[in-house]
Amino acid sequence: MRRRGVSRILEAVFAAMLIIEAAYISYFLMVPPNPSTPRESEGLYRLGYSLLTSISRNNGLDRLIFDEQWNVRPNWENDLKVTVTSLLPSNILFNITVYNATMDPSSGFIKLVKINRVPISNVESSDAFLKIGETTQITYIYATRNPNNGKLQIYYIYLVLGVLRGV
Amino acid sequence: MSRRRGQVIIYAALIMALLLLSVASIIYLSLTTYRKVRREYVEGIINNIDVEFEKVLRLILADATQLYNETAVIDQPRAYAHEKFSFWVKALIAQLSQLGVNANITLPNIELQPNKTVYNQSLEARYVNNLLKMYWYSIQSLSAIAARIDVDAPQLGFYGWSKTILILLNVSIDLDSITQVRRGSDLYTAVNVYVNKEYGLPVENLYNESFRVKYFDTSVGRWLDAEISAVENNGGGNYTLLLSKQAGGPLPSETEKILMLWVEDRRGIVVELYTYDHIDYVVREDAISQYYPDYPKTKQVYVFEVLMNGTWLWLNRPLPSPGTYPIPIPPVKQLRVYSTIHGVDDPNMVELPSQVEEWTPDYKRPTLRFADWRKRFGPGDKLVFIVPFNETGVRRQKIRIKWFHDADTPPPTYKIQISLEPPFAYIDNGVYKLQLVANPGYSDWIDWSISLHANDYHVEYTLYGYDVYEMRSGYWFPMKLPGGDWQVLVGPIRAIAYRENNIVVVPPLDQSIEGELYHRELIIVPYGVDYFLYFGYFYWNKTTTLDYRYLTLFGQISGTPDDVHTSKRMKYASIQLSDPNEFITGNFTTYNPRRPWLSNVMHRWRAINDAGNFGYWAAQYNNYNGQIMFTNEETYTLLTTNPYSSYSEVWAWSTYDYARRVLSYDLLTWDGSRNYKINAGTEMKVFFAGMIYNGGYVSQPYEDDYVWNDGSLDNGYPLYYVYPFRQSTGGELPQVYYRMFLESYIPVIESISY
Repeated sequence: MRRRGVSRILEAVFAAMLIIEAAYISYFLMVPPNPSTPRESEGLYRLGYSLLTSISRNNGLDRLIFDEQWNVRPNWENDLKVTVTSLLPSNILFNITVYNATMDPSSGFIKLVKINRVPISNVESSDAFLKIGETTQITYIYATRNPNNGKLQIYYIYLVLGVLRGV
Repeated sequence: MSRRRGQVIIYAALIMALLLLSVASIIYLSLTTYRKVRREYVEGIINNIDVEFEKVLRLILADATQLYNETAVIDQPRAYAHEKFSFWVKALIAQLSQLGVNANITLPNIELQPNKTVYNQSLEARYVNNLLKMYWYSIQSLSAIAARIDVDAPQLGFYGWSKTILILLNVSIDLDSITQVRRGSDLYTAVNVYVNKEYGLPVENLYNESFRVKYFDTSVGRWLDAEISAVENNGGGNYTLLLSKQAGGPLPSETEKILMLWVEDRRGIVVELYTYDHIDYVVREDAISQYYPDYPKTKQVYVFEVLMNGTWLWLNRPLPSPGTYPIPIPPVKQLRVYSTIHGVDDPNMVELPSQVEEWTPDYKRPTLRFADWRKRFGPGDKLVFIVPFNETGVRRQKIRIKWFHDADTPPPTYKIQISLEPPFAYIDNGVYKLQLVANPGYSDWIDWSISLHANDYHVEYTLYGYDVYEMRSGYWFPMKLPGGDWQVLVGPIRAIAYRENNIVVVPPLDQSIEGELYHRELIIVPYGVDYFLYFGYFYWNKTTTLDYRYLTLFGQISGTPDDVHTSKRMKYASIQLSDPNEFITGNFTTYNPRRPWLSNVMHRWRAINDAGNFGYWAAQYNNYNGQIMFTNEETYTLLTTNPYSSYSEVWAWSTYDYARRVLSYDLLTWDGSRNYKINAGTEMKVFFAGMIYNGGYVSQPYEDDYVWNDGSLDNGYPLYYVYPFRQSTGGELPQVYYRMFLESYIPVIESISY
């Protein structure tokens, strides 16, 4: 009888240990199979927003796209590409598309008109993003004011980032 | 054995406790890690919203304040702000919805400051709500915008992020600091201003172009831009502006503390400040109370006009004043006027009906933007308001001209009503309806130029006319009338009918001629008073000989076929004499359809009796209704000095047709045997006021054709007796009020302060 009582206690202890172990293992199971993935994804997100925030700060994007008379600068896409390239690590691929958002007065819907005439990217083709492991797409909304007509203008900036491995 | 068993139990319990704690910490760690991962996923979005939300509000406030400063209308910048903000919100939501993020935008009501008094200016409790607010035109002014955003990302397990953005520019003037200072060899007027923004942070990066100052130059009667010679940054948002006149030298010392200031910060946000936000006056009337202290003078209501330089006018005459303070240039909708009702000791003031009118810079003609409130107060504008002195014994009132700070102050509401029933326009002032022939082609309706409808009756007023046309069976006079059509301009509290041209119409010949007589005429109908005002200016372009001597300035006609033998008919006339303490009274004929010729009697006509003896008023009335014509000293002087003194009269007569009753102030009495030459360059200024009242009774008839000719009707026609009367209550009221329209008794501004 005494031995049976002890074994009951030991059973209980082992059972509890099993529960703990299950919980502990489940914590790791929450993480995707490739442990580097979440960190990369988070990092790309942060990197992308940080990049766009720094470009947009103090109306920097205005100065890249428009001249002093608020005319679209020729070859501004290349200037933006150079700027972004200089701000990103060399193994990061990017592609930027800028849209001018306008409100359709009749329907009230937002209409997007792409304003960059050439790709703003450090890859030849957007297919490159399909061949790499992890990519992130970021949408940034940017407001500014056209000093000529005093109108508020809103731009959508779509940024796709990817990490190039094995370089 | 029992001891060993006890030890096992203790060990087991400890292990169990440790295991449970481990479970708890693992679960907490899991949860935290999960949230951290989610937070990092949305952090960029949140930062994007945070930065852009603030920027959008800042841009909108800058644009809205600049727009309001330019347009003086709040609707436009407010609509602009809402449209742009709505645009941004839609764009934001469109973006966020793709990411599974919900955003909710609200417009909070935030108290910016409690009410307080600064330099005798009562500043209201100030809030920002409905997106943006502007409190300007006071010694402390601010522009502010505020909105709140709440963000949830259910798909990412992220909830509850919110942010309220408040952006403002707050500027105040240190009135005590305004003084003359010397910098080097030059004298300047120095003004200290304090500039801060949201959360009380000082604005440190302003420079000369951030400021604009206007001062009032009394020598030209205008607001002028001051030269900002230097801006000294004293730190903490405190700047000293060194001001000088455009021509150099400090601002005029008498007006150096009467300033308007605009500040635009580097963000483009504008505020407008004035060093004063009201002007107080004590005004005394000299027309009635001192002569009739116990009289119930319910009709003594003045319509004052105030010009930009601070001059008050009554009947186009400046009120005597110990000084003037200029009216600043806020949007006209901000201007309000308050007054005591029960006299200068009344602790309460009530808002008076007021409006701003735009006139030409010489104040002679109203413009087509007559009562446009979508503008700033400016040169040529008149602030018009109606001040009651209509309580028995009240001789002085305290009056305050004020400009509201809140840019959302609505424009004044319309109290005057106008309706059109061609060819007539009816202007309803709440007491009477003034009917005007306002349609093109009807300007020859001499006796319908103005009709005053009140008490279920109307009297027609005749205006300027001259010469007589001889017909086969009699005479048509006047033969010539100033022509052209009236333009009716209506404001919230008074309407003006105006015409100005060189056209003269000749109704008997159905002709019109040009170039003989220039005329500029104004009929003014204020709200809620018992009178209207007529101003006429006539200039003879060329020497003209009238076929027959006759020129009438203005008059009254009553009686129609419909009111024959009714109680509505005016029965009596009273006319003040050249001794203003005297007036005479008589009655008109009674119409007899079988003997209409008996109606036609000249009661007072210069050719037959004492018609040349007249004063400042003439009235016709019955026992409960009456209408008066008052004239002023200038017109009276025209009538009673050479070359007209021998020909002028107040003509009183009853007509052949329906015994209509006529009273007219004639400059040249009719003479069917003489012509009359009026030289080129002759000017005539004519004023009269038409007033309605309750008439009165007559008594004590007597016989005296020199006073009031009966046309011998009492001889054989006892039913149609015509008499002068020794007593009349109908003449008492005009006798009380006539001084109201005389220059010698114009109200006086006793004191002025701000």
